Parts: sequence; structure tokens; C-alpha cells
Amino acid sequence: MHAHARAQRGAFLWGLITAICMLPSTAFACVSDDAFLPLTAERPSAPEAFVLIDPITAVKPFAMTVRFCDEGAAISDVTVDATMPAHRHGMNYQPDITNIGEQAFKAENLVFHMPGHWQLAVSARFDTELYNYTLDITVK
Amino acid sequence: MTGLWRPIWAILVTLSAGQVWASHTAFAELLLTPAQIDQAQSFGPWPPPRLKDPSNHVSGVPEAIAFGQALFSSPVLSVNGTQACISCHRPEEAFAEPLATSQGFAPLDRNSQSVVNAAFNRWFGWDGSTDNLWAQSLHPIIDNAEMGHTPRSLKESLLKSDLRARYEAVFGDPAQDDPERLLVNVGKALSAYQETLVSGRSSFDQFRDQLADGDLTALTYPAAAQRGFQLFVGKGRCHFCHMGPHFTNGEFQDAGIPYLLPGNRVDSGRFGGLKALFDSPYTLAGPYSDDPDRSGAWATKAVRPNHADFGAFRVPSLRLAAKTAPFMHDGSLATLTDVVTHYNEIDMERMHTDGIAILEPLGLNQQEIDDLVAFLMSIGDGDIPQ
Repeated sequence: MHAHARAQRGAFLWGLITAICMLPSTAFACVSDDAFLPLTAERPSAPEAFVLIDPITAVKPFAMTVRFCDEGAAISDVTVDATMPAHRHGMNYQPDITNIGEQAFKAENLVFHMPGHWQLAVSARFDTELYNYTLDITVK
Repeated sequence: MTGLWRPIWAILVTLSAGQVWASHTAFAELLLTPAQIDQAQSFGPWPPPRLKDPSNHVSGVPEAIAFGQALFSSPVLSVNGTQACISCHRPEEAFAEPLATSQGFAPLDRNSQSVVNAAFNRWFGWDGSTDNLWAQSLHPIIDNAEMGHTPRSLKESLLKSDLRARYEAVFGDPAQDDPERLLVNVGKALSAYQETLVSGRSSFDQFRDQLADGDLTALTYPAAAQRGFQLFVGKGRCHFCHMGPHFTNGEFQDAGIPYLLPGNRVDSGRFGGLKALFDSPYTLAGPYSDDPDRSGAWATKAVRPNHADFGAFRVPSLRLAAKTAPFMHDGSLATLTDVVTHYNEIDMERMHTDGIAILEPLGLNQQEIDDLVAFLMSIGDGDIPQ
């Protein structure tokens, strides 16, 4: 290839790679809304999972939407819970979990009754395999 | 006075007057950091908007409020006509009990809390055995140790009393109501009245609002109270439970106060309260709620019993702490200084060993204790309705 054309192709490729790196992490996941936060999986083999959390005010109930990314898997036994690791206690209320379709689940009536660091814990069974996820949340 | 002396004298007088004025209106220096100013905002505004209770169809109804006020001081609500709500919730004591524990037909085990601001609670009573104010109002009426009625005896007493006409004006002919319905209606009228009992703005609220407005030029909030606030949200960690405009998260905590009672009994607190809640027909999920959506019932349906509930009691609001001594569920701490000292020296051996690592000795010196008390007093110096 002509040197000039090679240089042009190289510049194009670098530009393309840069553009891809600048895209939000959700751009290649099953969620397109940047407001969704990625959950941290316990195991590297776990399907990706994201959560969209309503604004949290301590003591008041709030809701969140959890979306899993494993097209074709039957998802069941979804649980959503949270603890305050420093205080060694959890929530005082059991969230309601509803399957809203497209591998998404709505969790309602979560209550963080103290300010500080909470750890969200989500688990789900994909066909027969159970995976666990966490997310750290600070409530002011 | 001649020559230069007149203007010199005028200057001296002006300077002297300025000094006197300054000494009488010595504005406080702001001690809070920007982060603490931000935190102060979370404890207001006060008062919050008052919303009608959808589970009570007479919430906000003037005739029901007036009837409820009459009921609140009426001995008709006790089976022998000797006790009224005001016997324990004394208006002259901020609607609270100045004794350690209250006296019904029998000595009671707990201190009667103030009913001022009660309308803003999620749970009621020290043990959260009720989830709404009308249920909390009717329970003492039918408690054997408190006012001793049954629904039937209450109906009989009301029909014979001068309150019959007032009941009829709000709810219709009481003779046509079954006793349970009449009991609930009495509770709802009492609740409608108590919803109007809201404490006024305190000196802390004024300070908080000044900070919100950025008005830092004329602060009068004392330095001791400011230092106390800094301890409240800092070293004292009080705000973990005593948060928001009500200075409570409304949940339950074992605060290291003994729950053993005379006669080999125990006060199980929230543990027993939840049992009573689940057995009660008077909850927001139950048949007597007027809310077709049962919108408040989620908490009763979703609450998780936990073995750590044993000996845990509802975190009280600190809004009235300046006026409602003594303190804790058994009234065992006489002053706010005693309360702060209790938390400062809390016995870790007494706390749940597997449990919640929130409370631990604070390490406050005497000045810090005094400052924290000064802050607590400033939260609750607003007017109490009569």
C-alpha cells in the first residue's frame, strides 16, 4: 500500500479506537441509558448486570430497576437486599421484586434508614447458575 | 458647650451608644464548616407540610378535630371515669408524662411520650405496635392497665355522656354503630385532633434557615449550640438515628437501657410490638382503613422481624427533648445531661454481641457534653400548642 494511504488508514483506525474508548460502558451492554450503573459480579463469568436507582432519601422508600444481560437465559430467584457493613445491619423492610420483562426486574420499598455506606446485594439464577452482584452506595 | 467641644462630645456620645448597641446585639460567629452547613439543611425545614391521613376520613375535618379535642380530656374514655388521655399526656407538660412511668389503672412500664408532632411518625408507641395514629389512640382505651374499656363498655359510656351529640354530628347516630366501629371512630376523632398538635420553630430552625438563605450577618445562635451540632453530626454520631426534620429515623434501636421489669417480666420492645401489630385489625392494611389504595400499608406488610428487635425501642424525635423529661422508654434518665452521659459511657457488654456496631462510648469531655446538651435544648425551644 502507498505510504500515504497506510498513514491515513492508521490514523483512521486510531481515531476509531479512541472513539470507541470514549463511549460509555453501557453502549455495548443491554442498556442504553447512561443512568444505569454497572453491578460488580462476584465471579468473572457472571453475565453483566446494571441498576437504575431512583433518588434516595434516607428513611423514605425508593425503587430501582435491575437489568441483566444474558439474552436467552431464563432468569429466576432474583433477590435484592442491602446492608451497612460498618454497622453490621441490613434493611428493616423486605423489598418487593417484580419481573417487568426483557430481563429487567423492579425492586420497590427499599429503605435505607441511616446515612452512610450501604452495600446493595443482588442475586439471580440464570437457567441453573446462581450469580451474585454488589454495588456500594453512600447515603447522605 | 462651646467651640470644638460640641462636635467632640457628639462623637464621644455616638461611639458610646454604638458600643452599648453592639454589646446588646453581639452577633454570633459562624463555627460550622461548609460541609456542616450543608448537613444542617437536612434537619429542616420545619414545620413540614401537614397532609391529610388517607386512612382516616375525618382527618382535617374541623368538627372531628373539635370533637377529638373534647374526647382527649374526657374521662368517659376510661371504664370507671377516672382517666383521660390528658392524665398521661399532660398539655402543661408538652402533652407528655413528667413521671418516669405512667399510671393507668395499674402502674405502667413505660414513659408516655408526647403526642405533639406524632402525626409525622411511621410507627407509634415505643414498640411500634401500631402503624397509624387512630389505632395508637384507641389502644389505651381498651387496655386493661390503662383505661380499661371494652368496645361495648365504651359505647355504653358514650351513649350516656354529653359527648353523644358531638359524636353524632361527625359520624352519625352512635347507637347504630357496632362497638368496634364506634371505638375506631373515637380513635379517628382523637387522631384528627392530635394531627393539629405541631411544635413551633425553634432557635435551631431559625439558624438553619438563616444558613439556607446565606444570611450570615446577624447570627444569634450561640457558639455552644453550634459546637453541639458539630458533635451531633461528628464525634457523637447522633444523626445516624436522629436525622431529618424530626430528628429521628422512626425506626428501632437497642440503646443499652435495661428491659427487665419487676416480677420476672421483660419488656421485649419492638419484638413484642411486631407481634401485636401482626395480630391487630386496626392497621393500615386492615378493614378499618379508609384508604382504598392502602397506600401506607407497605411498611406493615414488608417489615422484617429480627431477633435483634428484642429490647429495641422506637428512636424518639428530639424535637421536644427540651420539654419532655424524663427520657428513654422507661423514663430512667432524668435530664438530657444524663442521656448524653449514658451514650458517652455506654456499656458494650450490655449491647447485643452479634449485633449492630453503632453505639459505642463517645469519649466526650465535660465541655463537649455541655455543648451537645445546649444543642439539644435549642432544637426543642419552639412553642408547644395548647
